[in-house]
Amino acid sequence: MKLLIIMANNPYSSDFNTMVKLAESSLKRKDKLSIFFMGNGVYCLTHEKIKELSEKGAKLYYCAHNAEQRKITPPTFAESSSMYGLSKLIADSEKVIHLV
Amino acid sequence: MQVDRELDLKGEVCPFTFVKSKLIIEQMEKGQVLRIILDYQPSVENVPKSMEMEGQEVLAVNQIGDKLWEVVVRKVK
Repeated sequence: MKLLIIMANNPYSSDFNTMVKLAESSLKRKDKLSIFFMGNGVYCLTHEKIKELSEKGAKLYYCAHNAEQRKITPPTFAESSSMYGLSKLIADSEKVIHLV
Repeated sequence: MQVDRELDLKGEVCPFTFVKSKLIIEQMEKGQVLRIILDYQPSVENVPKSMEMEGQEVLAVNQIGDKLWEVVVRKVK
């Protein structure tokens, strides 16, 4: 299954734990997993758990505008994207989970 | 390179940089070339990427000044 998780909450929220658990379960099921970080969700990119998800096969994207606004330098394992990129990801996914 | 239309987007940020570029390119004929001027770095990466996802041809992305870039796109579809 092509699953997309949109993460718009910070890494200290309960949504962060939910996202990590969902992502790990999804990767165990061999789903094609993409995670898009936007809003305060871009702060998650600095968390060690996100690097682990990338290493396990999750494709990571972030809103470059939101990262710039928050003066975050995103890691190289995540791909710069935009709202247009997100719209394409949503259209290409079978399931979308939005954590706000 | 012949440029048919130029769009100055200095001062604009995402998503308006792409939206305004797309609106202009929709008015152009196939084969025509649009030059977009940007001063917002995240857009310099994402406007060309989005244009390619739209099926257009990105001819060049050049830095033309301090915090100033040009993106040159040919309308394909």
